[in-house]
Amino acid sequence: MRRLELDRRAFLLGVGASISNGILPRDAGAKAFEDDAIFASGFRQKDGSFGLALLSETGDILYRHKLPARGHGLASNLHSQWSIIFARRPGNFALAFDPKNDKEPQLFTTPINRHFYGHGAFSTNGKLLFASENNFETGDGKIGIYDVTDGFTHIGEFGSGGIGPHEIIMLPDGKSLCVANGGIKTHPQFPRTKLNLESMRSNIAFIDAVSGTIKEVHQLPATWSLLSMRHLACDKNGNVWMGGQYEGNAFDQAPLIAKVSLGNALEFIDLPAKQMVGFKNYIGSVSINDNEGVVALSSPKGGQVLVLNSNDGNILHSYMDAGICGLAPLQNKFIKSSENGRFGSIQHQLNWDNHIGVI
Amino acid sequence: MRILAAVIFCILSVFPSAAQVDGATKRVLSNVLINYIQPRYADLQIKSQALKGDIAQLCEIPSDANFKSARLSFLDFANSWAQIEWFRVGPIMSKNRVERILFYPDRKSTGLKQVQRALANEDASVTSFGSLTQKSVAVQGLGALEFILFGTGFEALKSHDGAFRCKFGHAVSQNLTDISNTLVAGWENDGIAAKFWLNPNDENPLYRNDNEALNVLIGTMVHGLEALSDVRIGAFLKDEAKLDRPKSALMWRSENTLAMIISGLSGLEKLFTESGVEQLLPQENSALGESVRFELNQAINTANSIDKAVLELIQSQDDRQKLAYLKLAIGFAISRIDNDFSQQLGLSAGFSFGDGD
Repeated sequence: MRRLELDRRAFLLGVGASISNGILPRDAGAKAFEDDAIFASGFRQKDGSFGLALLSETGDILYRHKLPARGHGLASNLHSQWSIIFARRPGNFALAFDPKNDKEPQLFTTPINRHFYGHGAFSTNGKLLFASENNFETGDGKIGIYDVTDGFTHIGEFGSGGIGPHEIIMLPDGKSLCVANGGIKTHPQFPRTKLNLESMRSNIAFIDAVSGTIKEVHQLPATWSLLSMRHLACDKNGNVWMGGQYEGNAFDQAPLIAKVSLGNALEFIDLPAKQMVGFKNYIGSVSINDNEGVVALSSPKGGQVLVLNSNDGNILHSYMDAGICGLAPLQNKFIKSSENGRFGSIQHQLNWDNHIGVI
Repeated sequence: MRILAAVIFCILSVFPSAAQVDGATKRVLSNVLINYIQPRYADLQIKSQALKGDIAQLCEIPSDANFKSARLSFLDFANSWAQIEWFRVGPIMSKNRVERILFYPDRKSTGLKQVQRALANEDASVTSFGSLTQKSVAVQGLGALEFILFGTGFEALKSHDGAFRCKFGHAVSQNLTDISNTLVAGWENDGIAAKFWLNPNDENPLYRNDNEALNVLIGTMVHGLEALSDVRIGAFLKDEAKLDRPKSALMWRSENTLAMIISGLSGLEKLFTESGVEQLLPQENSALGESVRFELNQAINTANSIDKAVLELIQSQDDRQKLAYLKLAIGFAISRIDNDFSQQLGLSAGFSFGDGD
């Protein structure tokens, strides 16, 4: 225990240094920043350093901030001035930033013996933040609860209903969280090693956001025990759309897309062979555009985005671009980013992480 | 799986056979199949048969000599496996075969506890191949066999006192042989795996074009090197000597930890060299292949210079520094392959070799 405390102290010292030295100058267009910044995403620079960028709807970078390591998922809320970027697993930091730039960014960390899994969601009123976390000594998935009004103090946690919780979203009812428990056990001692592939089992859990009670758990069938559901988005009808990543033989064609809702069973979406091959057994991001009644799913490994009708699951169109992954709704379509540097229509000399946050 | 069968049917009907491959990238893929995958699995099969035979002999006639032969065969098999264990394509990725050969890391010593319990209780279900394969993957492979041959109580194997222990070991060796046979058969020239491997096209779930194929190949090298550094060395070598965890090292009992790392590095060097992938470099940067090989050989030479038991190795500050340098050397090799070599091949400069989230 003592060693972990020391590690944490050392980590915080390191973070302090990076915060005090690391704020990068605003890019040109700072004036536009206050009005136009609507997206955020993590990135890697050519020198290997990591950061957060705020971008306009054209894909112009308006602001950058250095991060101590690679950032991943983002969370925002209409009633909070804060937006959050979470460390990619097994990182234990998250950065709260004010898109209007009125407040200094705040960096906070998980409790000892926990690390983030890269995603989180606000409560409807914006006063609490829920984050997917790993109790790495037991391997149990946890949902950490942070008080937004008190400097992101960790005030509690509840079980995620499985192992390896990844994306977590608040449902439109404002009372229920939905968590994709990817089923894969990891430990910071072996940062990116999957420790339980022989016994993994992914599920989707619905959790009461107030009590932490598990309302429903939708287990994936044993046939697809190596399929890890990771990313989620909910449409206006309460259907949660999900995209998975398959840990088995690349020759298999796992059913990567499914939908589920409270009270209704999980249902896989059949795809033609060409689109299945195009995902390379890996979906990195899911996004909904309720204006158009569509859901988009992306694969950076396959360089494919598939857009489905969210009413019936039918394919509307697909889009190919190497390394594409980040997705967010924009008017009647989606803005997309790629690990090769493209954001919207602009090519940057950066590698964008897998997610775009709408702020 | 029905979908897979349908896809395979379609693909078998449209894919050319191995003899018909052409193009520079396809030649590289063919080289990998012929010069790396098939010979490495063939070697594994030979070593597994020797292991099975030697343990059978030990069980029949327990003696010091037969015991030593069984141990040597174990080490031979383990080091043969290490030469191809990071190649994660094809039949090795089905039915938990990776974990059934070697379940590691095992943070909670789950496998060790099960093996010890089976030995203490003389659990008959671990002494037949059929019933062993129904048990936890952690008792089916090299981890279990290492404890049987090198762990507490191994002396019993030199006499009939160790009959149960020996039968357990024999069942494990049968399992390893069975898996090795499956891997060899799975990569035969006209099999599904070879056809997928040799033929990038739009219907191939493994890769649709040359770039994706090269990504798989280069990604295998990068992931393998990362795992050797982060998991195999990182498991026991910590930032400070007092934090080292030598008994977390793979095969510390058999003193085969460094040999496994050396075999792993050597296997990846073979994959790189035998593939001929450097022939795809632009003429003006053709020397980059030699540069990658230099970095890999630096790592191999460093590992060879400290090929000792881990328990001994970490006692010496000098050796600890060499281990730290080994990690550094592996890092140089990763950087050379991931940054320089792959970009010269025209591959993506994104996160494509990293695992996802």
